[in-house]
Amino acid sequence: MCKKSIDSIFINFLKMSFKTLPLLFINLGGEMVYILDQRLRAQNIPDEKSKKVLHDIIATMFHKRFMEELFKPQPLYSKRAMRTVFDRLAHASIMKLNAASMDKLYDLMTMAFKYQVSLSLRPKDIILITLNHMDSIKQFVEGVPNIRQQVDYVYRLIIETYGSMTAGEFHLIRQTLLNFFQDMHIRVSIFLKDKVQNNNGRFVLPTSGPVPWGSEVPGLIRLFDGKEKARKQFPSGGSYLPCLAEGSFDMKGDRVTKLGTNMYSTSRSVETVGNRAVKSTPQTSDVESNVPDPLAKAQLDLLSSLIGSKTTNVKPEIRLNLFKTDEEEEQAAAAIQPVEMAESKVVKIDASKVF
Amino acid sequence: MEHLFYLGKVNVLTFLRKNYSKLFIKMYRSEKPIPLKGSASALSNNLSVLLTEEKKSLNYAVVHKSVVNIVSAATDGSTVTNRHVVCKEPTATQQTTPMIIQAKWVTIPCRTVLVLTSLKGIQVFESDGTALIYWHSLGDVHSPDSYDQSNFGRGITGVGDSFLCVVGGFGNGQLKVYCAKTGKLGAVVNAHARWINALDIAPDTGLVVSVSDDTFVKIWQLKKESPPEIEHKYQESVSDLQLVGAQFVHSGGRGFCVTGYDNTSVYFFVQN
Repeated sequence: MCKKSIDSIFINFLKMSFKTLPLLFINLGGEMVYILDQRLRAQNIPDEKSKKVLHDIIATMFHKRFMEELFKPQPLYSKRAMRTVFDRLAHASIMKLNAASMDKLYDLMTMAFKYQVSLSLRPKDIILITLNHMDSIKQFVEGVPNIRQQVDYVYRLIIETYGSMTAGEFHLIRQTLLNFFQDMHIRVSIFLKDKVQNNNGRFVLPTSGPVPWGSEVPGLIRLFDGKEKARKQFPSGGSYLPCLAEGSFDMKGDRVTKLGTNMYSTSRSVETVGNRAVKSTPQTSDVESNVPDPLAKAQLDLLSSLIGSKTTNVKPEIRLNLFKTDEEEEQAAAAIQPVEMAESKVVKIDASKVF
Repeated sequence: MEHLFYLGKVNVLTFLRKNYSKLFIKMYRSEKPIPLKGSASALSNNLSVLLTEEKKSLNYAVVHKSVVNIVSAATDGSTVTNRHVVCKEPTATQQTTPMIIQAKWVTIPCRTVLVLTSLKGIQVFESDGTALIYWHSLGDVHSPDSYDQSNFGRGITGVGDSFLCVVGGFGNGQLKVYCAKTGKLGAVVNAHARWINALDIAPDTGLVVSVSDDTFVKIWQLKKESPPEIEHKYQESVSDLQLVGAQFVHSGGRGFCVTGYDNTSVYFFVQN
């Protein structure tokens, strides 16, 4: 293989991993909105206050300048930077979360999107998942025209950026996302209940159901000599079905997949199971947590200035709790260090103190 | 009518007796997995295997983000050692975590080297990963030739003149077999229900192993026809694992191993 084509493979990989950030941000943001909405209702927060919180957060998330920066080709933020972005976003309104609840919120968001990417039938379906999140966000801001406009603008950015990508390019994006979520195995009670996650934190990958759009059900061998000369069947090993519909990539349409739609309702609560300390210690090579990320910092500063301008004189009126009781939240809070303060060392969690 | 049924039952029993071994003994059985120091990243062909020249040890290389974890197992089963190779970046300040795309042992006429390909370029190490010999930097990013990335895991095998064929694993789960000499398509297999991430071929026997995000590892037999043919021999689902690497550890295909995304084991299968 000549040098030029080797270069173009890597360049393509690089280019695709540089186009992944908007998808990561929008989908995580979408999950955050679902979870906050569920908790606000569970805590019986009055309707106009709930609406204000969600509208403020969505308006900040989809701020035109921030989105334009996000869609510029760039590598993914480090895990720490991403966490900080959502920490700031969650506090863009009259609501506040303490560190333990923020941790839990972020864990739920990331595990949900990890689940959706893992279960997506084909890599391009990640765009359908993104559009499902966008569709729900659009519903949350129905009746607020200026925020609606911001959301519509992002629909266009998504369709422009990803509309004509090849299957291979989506595959590279999917790999980039999976590698961002590597080694995260937090158990989520809704996933455990629905039996889509095992007790070891791994997702259940079914060997049945529809095959991806564009694929055939496994089991057939066709032999050719110029034209088809013979066919043989073999057992597929699973029980697969043909895929009946592709899903719409337009601004409006049936996305077909349920991944990315709101899985929470007032009766299905939002919980992680067990303690966060059940994570393998990262290898010494995991430099991300220690190296400052200048690109991310620039965007964080931009985000801060956008949020800061809205909330300088606003006192938080609502304290949201992601746990079942205040006591649980306190216990969890006692055991952790705030992410932003642990600069150059790996955050150590004393497992004996965590609930 | 009753007579016919009775005869039918006897025939079934005879058939079962004669074909017992084919029906009830699987072609491969799983063996004890080898643990890795870090989980496997979601990449194509994320497993490379090297049998050292003196045939003293089998080495397995699996990429975990910016590191390659190498496990060396002495062939007499006496020791297992772990090493890792960190992807070094040419610039002094690391702005982003260097991400390795693939790690592979490559044997060229006089030596074997470990090649790491990352977003910044290619690095070539001694086969044990101890010393960086050479690196080729990517340079400026220019607009690429249109390259359809739906081809992954191509394998080429040659057994004298007769086995020369190319097997391609595709994103839609299909395997395609071509004659290497004429380019003619010999077979299309609806092999997997998801993206195929890795292939390997056992040169002595023409056995092919394929793995996919669908959790399955499947074994195929290439046939020395012109154009080449292929048939299905074996499959196993490694529960809930998106498989990202596959390699035969024996040139006849008597054993193979696989890796899965987000998992810290190398799983082994040995022929019965």
